[in-house]
Amino acid sequence: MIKNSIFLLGFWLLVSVNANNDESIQRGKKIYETVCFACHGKNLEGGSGFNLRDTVWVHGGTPSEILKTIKKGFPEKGMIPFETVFKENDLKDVVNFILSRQQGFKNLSYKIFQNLRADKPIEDLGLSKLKPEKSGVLKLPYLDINLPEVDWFGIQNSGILVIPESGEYLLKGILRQGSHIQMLIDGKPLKLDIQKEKWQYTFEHKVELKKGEHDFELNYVKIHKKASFHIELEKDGMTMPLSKGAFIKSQNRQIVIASTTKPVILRKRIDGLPSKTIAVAFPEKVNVAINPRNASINGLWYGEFVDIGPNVFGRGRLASLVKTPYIFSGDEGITVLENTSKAEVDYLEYSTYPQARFHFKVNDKKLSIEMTALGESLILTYRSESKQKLSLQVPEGVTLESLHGQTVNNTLIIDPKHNEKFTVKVTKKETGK
Amino acid sequence: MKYLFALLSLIVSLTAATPDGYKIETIETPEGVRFHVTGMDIDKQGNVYCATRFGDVWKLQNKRWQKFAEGLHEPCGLLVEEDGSVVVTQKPEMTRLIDSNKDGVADRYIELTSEFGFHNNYHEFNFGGVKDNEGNYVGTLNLGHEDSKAFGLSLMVTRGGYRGCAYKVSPSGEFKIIASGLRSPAGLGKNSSGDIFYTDNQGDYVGTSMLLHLRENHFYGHPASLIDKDFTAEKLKSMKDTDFDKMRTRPVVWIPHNEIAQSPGNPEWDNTAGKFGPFSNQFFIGDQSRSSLFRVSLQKIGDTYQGCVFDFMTGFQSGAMRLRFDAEGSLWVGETGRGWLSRGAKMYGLQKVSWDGTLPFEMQDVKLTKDGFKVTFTKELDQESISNFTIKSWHYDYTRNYGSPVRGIQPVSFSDVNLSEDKKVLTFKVPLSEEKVFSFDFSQLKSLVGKNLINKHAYYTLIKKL
Repeated sequence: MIKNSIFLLGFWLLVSVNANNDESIQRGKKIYETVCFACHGKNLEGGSGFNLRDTVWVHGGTPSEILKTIKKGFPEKGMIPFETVFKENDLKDVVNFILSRQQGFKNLSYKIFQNLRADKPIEDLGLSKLKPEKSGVLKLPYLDINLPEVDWFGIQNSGILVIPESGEYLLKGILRQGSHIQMLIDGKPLKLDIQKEKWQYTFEHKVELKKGEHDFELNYVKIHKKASFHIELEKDGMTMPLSKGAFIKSQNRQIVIASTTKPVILRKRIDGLPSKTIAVAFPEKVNVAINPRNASINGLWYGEFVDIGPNVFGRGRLASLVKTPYIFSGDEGITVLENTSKAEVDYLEYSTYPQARFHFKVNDKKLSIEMTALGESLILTYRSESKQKLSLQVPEGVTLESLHGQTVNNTLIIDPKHNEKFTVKVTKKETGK
Repeated sequence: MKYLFALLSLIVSLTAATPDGYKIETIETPEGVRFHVTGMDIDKQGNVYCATRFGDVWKLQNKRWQKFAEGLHEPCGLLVEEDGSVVVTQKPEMTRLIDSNKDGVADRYIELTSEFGFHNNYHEFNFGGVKDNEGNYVGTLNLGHEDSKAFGLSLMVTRGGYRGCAYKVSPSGEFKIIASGLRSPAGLGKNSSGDIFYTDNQGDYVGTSMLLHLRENHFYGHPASLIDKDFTAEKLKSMKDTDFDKMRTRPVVWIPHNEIAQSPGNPEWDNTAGKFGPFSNQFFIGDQSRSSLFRVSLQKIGDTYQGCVFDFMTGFQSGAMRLRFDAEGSLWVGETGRGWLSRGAKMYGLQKVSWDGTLPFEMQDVKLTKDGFKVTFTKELDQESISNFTIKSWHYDYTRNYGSPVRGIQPVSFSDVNLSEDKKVLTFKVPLSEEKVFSFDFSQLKSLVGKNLINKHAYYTLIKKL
């Protein structure tokens, strides 16, 4: 997610809200690490709440604006008014701590040189001396080479790089061309050792940087089609995105789907469940999966439904995550048997009104499975046109109860006179009982 | 903030290459919703339906958005039926959505078909949004990627289940494979005769992106899908690219990479009878990477289509993926910038292009003649400038390598340049050869009032001579 950009121009100049000394910062750090980190991340990198260490401030970035934001909160978005919990001075310490952790670019601007060709080394092209066709301030404080509208161009990004602490940093890059990129820190060009790796080029460059502000300049002349451009700084496991691509990649990748008032039915790739599976969440925090290939209830879990972030961000390569343990999961779980054999299943549809209900043909006879939740139990109502003897396989981890049949050896045998409609209560087996 | 964005997008649309008379309007999408449009259609009443990559279907009625359906798996095609039901192609199935209790929200998600393999690979898209003349729904199945258990000779692979094929399904659910050899066929459309076309994206066995005419039992070049036909893995591994080359059907047009498109979406036929300007009965296609629109005019020679590509407009806020004309003749542009980064800075959105009646100075069409080409312009040309153009020709490699540079690029001589009496039609003779792209540079050409073209190049794909 890219936040609406409101720059904090000159946060470093503004009067602090508390005696701005190391003690205040340390006190603020303690509070941050007990309360704020849960939403804003251990390293202020953002989580369900915004990133607090870059220079983007959605609700105002002066110390007093940040203080006001913390005091009043956004209850509708899950941030409580912290003035009801902490004294004002404590919150001022938190503000000082946050401001002490600021890092990245400020005053970042760009110049575009249209139709510039990479026909000689970038040093000889002398971008700084050329007259740009376009120039301006970058909307987000990240290097961006993808602004030009023309197919061939040179671009310069320049601004101030704020370094949070002195030490050796690793400047890492992934890009699509092996030359015609030049970076200068405090006027000195970096000697980048660019390596080719399959489709892309990478570099890792060690650089000693002092805490505080540095002049930064990027010069780039396009050779390859516009594509990935990831530049970041690393130190002690902390990563500071410098380019827009790296920033987008660093953003919080969680999207938790939840059922609040009515069931939610979802088709996504879900870790631990086969493809084509359909998942259902109930407000009671009972979650269930059904496999349309075999009409089997093939997953059951409680609590949070699924985080589809990994399946939605970027190219959506990864599976959605179920973060609480499955009671059971796999290709099948609670499976309908006809005369003790697995039946031929043809999935037809699901309906959401008035209840979540799944429709099949099983051995050419209609069968539907309606799902509801009752407390911690899953209630399944089967309706079948079959005249045969039906039974349900009981997977490990649950007990099946029904007024319309009885359980023998992990199989719930349905009294055939109830085939038209029988109800099953699925409950997690208590361990130790 | 909203006004700022509106202003920015206006500035973008003014500075980018836009023919006279066309403007881009940004449509507000539901707040806080990831509105990556990957399926779009407009019903007879003018209500706009959008399927999002996130998995929703939204309906725009009387300027208000309502969520019509949710929880779908990355739908990549959508069409609305006359009865108000909506057919979407999502990764695991083609689905009909019905609002049976008439509360404005779909409550039945009916499987039309899932008789194809889906193996949870992120690249196994299922594209659609088109019906053939017999009322069958047509879809295309993307190959998989980065799957060590799958079969493949190159980058894109399959675990079977007709990946890399086009299929059709009748309203009652009868499933049939139409064609094979597809790679990443991200958009379908049809012309006024009901012939179905699709685009395929540059990559292995696709030298540059293409528009193709979808015909029964044809093989379009990517061999992975042949594993579902009468070929074993061993047989396919023993075959050379030149063997596949003999089997494949050529495209309608090769779409020059970088210049025109990198990831084309669906072709949308201009059936507006002039409401969208002078390009009736041509295809408009969006490009996801360049965030742009281009045109393709068709020429049918025997039973084979070939044609010409023209750039049209750049400056969209995000990757242009899905296009649809409304009854007023405006072109809706559904956008996504996710996955394969787009030039437009926004990650998603919806925009609309309309024409105000001002005639732009553009190439209206390029057609092959027996001994050269005929180029029609929208306005009269300055007789003095008519020979001030250049022609080049080239071709693309057909190999398992990813994409192809332009090959055999050479200047093409021309003679007998003639301007028609109405000063709008230029004809000239050219030594013709087949399976080549002929690229025309008309940047020095002037209209009668001394104007240059906004879009100066045309790219004719010559498969067959007349």
